[in-house]
Amino acid sequence: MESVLEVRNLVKGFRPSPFKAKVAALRGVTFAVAEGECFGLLGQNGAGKTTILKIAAGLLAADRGEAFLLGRPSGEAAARRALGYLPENPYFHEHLTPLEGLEIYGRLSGLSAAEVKSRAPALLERVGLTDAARRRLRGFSKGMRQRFGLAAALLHEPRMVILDEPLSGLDPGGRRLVKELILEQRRVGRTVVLCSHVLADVQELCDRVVVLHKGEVVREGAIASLLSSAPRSFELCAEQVAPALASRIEQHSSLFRAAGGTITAKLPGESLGPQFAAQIHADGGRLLSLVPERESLEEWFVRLVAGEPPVDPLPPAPAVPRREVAPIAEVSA
Amino acid sequence: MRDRVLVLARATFLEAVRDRVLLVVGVFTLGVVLFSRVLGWLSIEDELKMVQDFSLSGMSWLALLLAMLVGAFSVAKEVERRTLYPILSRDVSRGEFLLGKYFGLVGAIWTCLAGAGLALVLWLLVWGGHPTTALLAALLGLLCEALLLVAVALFLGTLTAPAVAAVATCGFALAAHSTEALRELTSDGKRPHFATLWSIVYRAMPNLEDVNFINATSAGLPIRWTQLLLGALSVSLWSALFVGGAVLLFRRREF
Repeated sequence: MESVLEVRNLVKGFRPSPFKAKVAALRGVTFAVAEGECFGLLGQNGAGKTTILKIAAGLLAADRGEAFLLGRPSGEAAARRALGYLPENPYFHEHLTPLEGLEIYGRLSGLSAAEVKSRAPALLERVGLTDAARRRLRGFSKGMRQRFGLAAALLHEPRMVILDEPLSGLDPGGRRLVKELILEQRRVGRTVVLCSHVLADVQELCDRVVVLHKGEVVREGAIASLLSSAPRSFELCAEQVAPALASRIEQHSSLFRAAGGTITAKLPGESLGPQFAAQIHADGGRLLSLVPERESLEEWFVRLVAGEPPVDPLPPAPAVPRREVAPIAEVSA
Repeated sequence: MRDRVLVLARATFLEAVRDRVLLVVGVFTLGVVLFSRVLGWLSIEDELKMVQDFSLSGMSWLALLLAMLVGAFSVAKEVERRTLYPILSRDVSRGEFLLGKYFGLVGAIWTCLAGAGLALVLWLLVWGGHPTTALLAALLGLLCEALLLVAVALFLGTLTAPAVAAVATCGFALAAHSTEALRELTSDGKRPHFATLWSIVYRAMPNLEDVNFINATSAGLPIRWTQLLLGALSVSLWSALFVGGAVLLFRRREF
């Protein structure tokens, strides 16, 4: 598959002041983003995420290495024709109205005045700014600016969209709207490069991620392959559980609560939960729910940047007295 | 390229026109034109000549003030507010961006000067005066001066901090108006070193007196249109040089 964005051995440093030595922001970063994928760029503050995005958008030049947009160096203006870019905390010319702003940005992206006129109202409606279409951007809230920025980035229907913290500063409604828009881009086959500190959003939206730490790539891959699919624990909820069995469950659980005849327990490992569920069923108890808990991207990321060793997703399960039980599938059903 | 430069020029023009600075300076200049009548009454000279002289001088300062406030701060404002991110991340080169800025700023200042000039002509007509071709030449000269001052302000604005650029633009304007006078002052042979120095400065710097017809208009001297034409050509070339320099500097900037 063709690479839409490719960075090869990018090195970039910044001088804190003219007389001080350069501080390295990127130390030989290499990765590629394939057409049509939603790619996440993860890293702590100062990891080099925004620097990479700025180099890709032609706002910064790398000290060494190269960045390519659709096979052309990102420094070339023509290479950016296929790019839509939403910077972090975007600012726009405040004297403009959204309609005027879209007209300017659209024309700068090679659209004709007629094309902008036909696309802008629908796009403003999509980002929920129809009512504010003729108000100056000066009075816009952070969330409104963010939504306008997204409209400006998508107006010329680019092949790739770079979104730097697109969900920051948005209210719940705005967050949902932006997420829907990002998923829409994926559906129409547009490549999305997303940079966000909210890793739950990245996990929800992205196919693949690269993790940067102190200017270096420390991990890259599909989210599904980076996170273990096996559950770390189960949350079990049941009622009418025999006291002896409830006592055994409590002994093995990391968290246990009993109230009004209902027990709730958190059972570590991938086997304890199903085993106890089966026993509850066999003893005539009523299983209300059995919810597996898997490691989230955020937990995985925190562990990774803290330098902790990978956690075995399958901790050894303590022995539980075995009884003849029905298969788990039947119990769950 | 032309389309993108025009779009950027229009956006810059719109920004400058909607900016309070332009409004304040424009209203101030209009006030100067209207107030000139009061000075005319107090003057022992021809009342309307006073109106014309005072207004033209006011407009000359207007051109300088606007070049300083709008031109020198223009690029820095874009960088500081990061409003250039959504522009330069598109199919727009740095050169196109600066050219668009330049033409937009020139357009805004020319509009302001044309407005003040029109107000002056109407004011003269109201009080029974007759605008002359000399007045037209003086107004055209002011437009030429604005062309160069904006280019210098833009160049200095990409080179250094905006406040420094504004002050340096003012210094440039004063020097570019004085080189000829200083050269003549030192050409009496008493100070040969100064004479050589000013002769070099005279040749190395643009001469804004080439397009300054305010004194000629005031003194009722005949207007040499060829001088205006050559002056406009010289100022245009110098402007192109400064804008070109600004583009070269801006290409190296990182944001």
